[in-house]
Amino acid sequence: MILRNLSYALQEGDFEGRCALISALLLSLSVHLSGFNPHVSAVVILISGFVSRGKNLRLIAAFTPFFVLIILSGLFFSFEYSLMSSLAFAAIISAGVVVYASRISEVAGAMIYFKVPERFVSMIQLGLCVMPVLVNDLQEIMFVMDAKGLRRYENALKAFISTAILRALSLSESLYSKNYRNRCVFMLRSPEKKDIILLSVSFLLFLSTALLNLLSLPF
Amino acid sequence: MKVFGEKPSPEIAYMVHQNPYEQITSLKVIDELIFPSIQSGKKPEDARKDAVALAEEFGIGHLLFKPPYQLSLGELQIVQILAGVLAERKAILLDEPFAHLSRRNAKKLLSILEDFFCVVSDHRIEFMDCFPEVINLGLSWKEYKGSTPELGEIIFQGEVSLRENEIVAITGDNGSGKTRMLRRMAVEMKNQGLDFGISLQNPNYSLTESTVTGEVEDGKAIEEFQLGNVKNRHPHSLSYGQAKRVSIAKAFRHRIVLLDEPTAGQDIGFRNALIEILRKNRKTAVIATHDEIFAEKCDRVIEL
Repeated sequence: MILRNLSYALQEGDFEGRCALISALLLSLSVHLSGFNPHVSAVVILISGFVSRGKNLRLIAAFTPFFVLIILSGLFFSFEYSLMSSLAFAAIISAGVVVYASRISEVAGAMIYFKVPERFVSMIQLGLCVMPVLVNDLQEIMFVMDAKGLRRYENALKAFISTAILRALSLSESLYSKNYRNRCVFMLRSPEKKDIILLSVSFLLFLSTALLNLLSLPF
Repeated sequence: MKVFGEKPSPEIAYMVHQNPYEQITSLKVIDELIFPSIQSGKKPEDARKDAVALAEEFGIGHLLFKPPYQLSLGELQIVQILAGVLAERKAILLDEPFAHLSRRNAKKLLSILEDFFCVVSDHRIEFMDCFPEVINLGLSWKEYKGSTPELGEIIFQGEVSLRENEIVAITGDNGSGKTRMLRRMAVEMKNQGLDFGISLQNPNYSLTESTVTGEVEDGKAIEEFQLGNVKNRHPHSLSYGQAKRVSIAKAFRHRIVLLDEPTAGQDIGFRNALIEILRKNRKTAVIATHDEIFAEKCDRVIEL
C-alpha cells in the first residue's frame, strides 16, 4: 500500500511550473514561520489536497511509519507537541507535493526563469526523475518476490539495493551515450487562471502568517 | 559495445543500450525523446516539434505524455531508438534493438533506420537479410526434434485455463497487453494458492543471492541453462542475456512458470533449447513473447 501511494503521489500534474514552485515555497515557509501552528498546517494540507487532487494525502499515508515514530516520541516528551509536529510534517510533505502538481520540465523552466544555473537545474531534474523510477523498481521487486514473511522483505531489500546501484551505473552510461552537457529539458508557458488562484491563495497565507509573526499576535 | 576497446564518442555516435529501462532520464516520453537533442544545443521548441512528428510517423503519438517507466519494454525500446534518430549523430549503434520488438515494429524501425549509418548487434537472425553487410562473430546452434507433449488435467482456471505440462504462448504487438495478462494470471494463481514462479522482463528484480549457484540451487538446471561457466559469479555482474537465464532457471523451482519475453537477448541456440528444457522438466508454462518462431513451438498460442 505504501508503494502504491508513493507511486501515485509522484505522478506529474498540469499546473504551471513557476506558480507551482513559488506556491510550494510559500506554503512551506508559512508552516515554518507560524512555528508549526496546527491551523496553518491544516490550511496548507487543504490547499495542497485541492491542487494535487488528493495526492498529498496518498503521500502522507505512504509516510505512516514516520508519523507513528513522531507520535510515539510524544510519550517521552509532550504529546501535544508530537501531534503538532506530525501535522506540521504532513503540511511540509503536502507543500512538496505541490511541486509534483506541475511537470518536472516546467519546474525546471521555472528555475531557469529565476536564473538558477542550468547545471544545478539539470541535476535537480535528474534527481526528481529518478525517484518515481526507483519506486517503480521497488514495486516490481515486491511483485516478483516468492518468499514469505520477513524473508520476503529481506530479499526485496537485497534486490532493491542491487537494482538501485545498477540504476546509478546505467544512468551514468546513459548520460554518456546521450552526450550529457548539463543542459536540462525545460518548458515555459503562460500561467492559467487556476495557476494564478493557487499562487494568490499561497501568497495570502504566507502574508497573513508573516504579519501575525511580525506583530507577535496569536494565530 | 566497445570500438577497438574504447567507448564510442557520444558526439559522433549515439548508443542505444540493450535494456531500455536503463536509459530513462526523463519523466515523460516526449522529454525522453528530446533529451539527447537538447544536449547537442537544439532549442526545446524545435526538438519537441521534430519529436512529435517522428512519434506520429512511427505510431507512438499516444505515448508522448506517459511516464517512460510505465511503458512495455518494446515500446520503451522504440522510444530510445527514436531518441537516437532525433539526436542527429553521424552514427547510431544499436545493441539488440529487435530483442523486444514485434516483427511489424522491427520492420517499421528498419525502414526509418535506412537513412542512417547504423551498426546493429542482434541475435534475431531473421532480420539479417535487411542489412547490406553482416559480420558473423560465430553462429552455431543445435536443432531439436521436438518431443510430443503429454498433457494432463486442468490445473489452473482463470484468465486462461492451463493443463498440466502445457506450454502456452501469449503473442501480440508491442503494448498489446501480454505482460499485463501474465501479471493478472500471477495474481490469480497466488489467490488460488498454486505453486508458480515468474520471470519478468527485467531479470534483476528477482535476483537476490550473491552467486548464480545460490540463485538457481539446482546443479542440473545450471547445466541445462548453460550457466556452468558463470556459476560462481554475482548475478548482477552478468550480461542481460545471462541474467535473464538465471532468472528463468530460478523460476524453474516451481511447478508452473510464467515467463515474460524469455528469448529476449538470447542466442538462437537457447531459443531452440528452452522448449526442450520445459518439456524435459515437465513444466507447465505461460510465455509472453513476440518471437513468432518460438511461439509456434508451444502447444497453444493466444494472440492478443
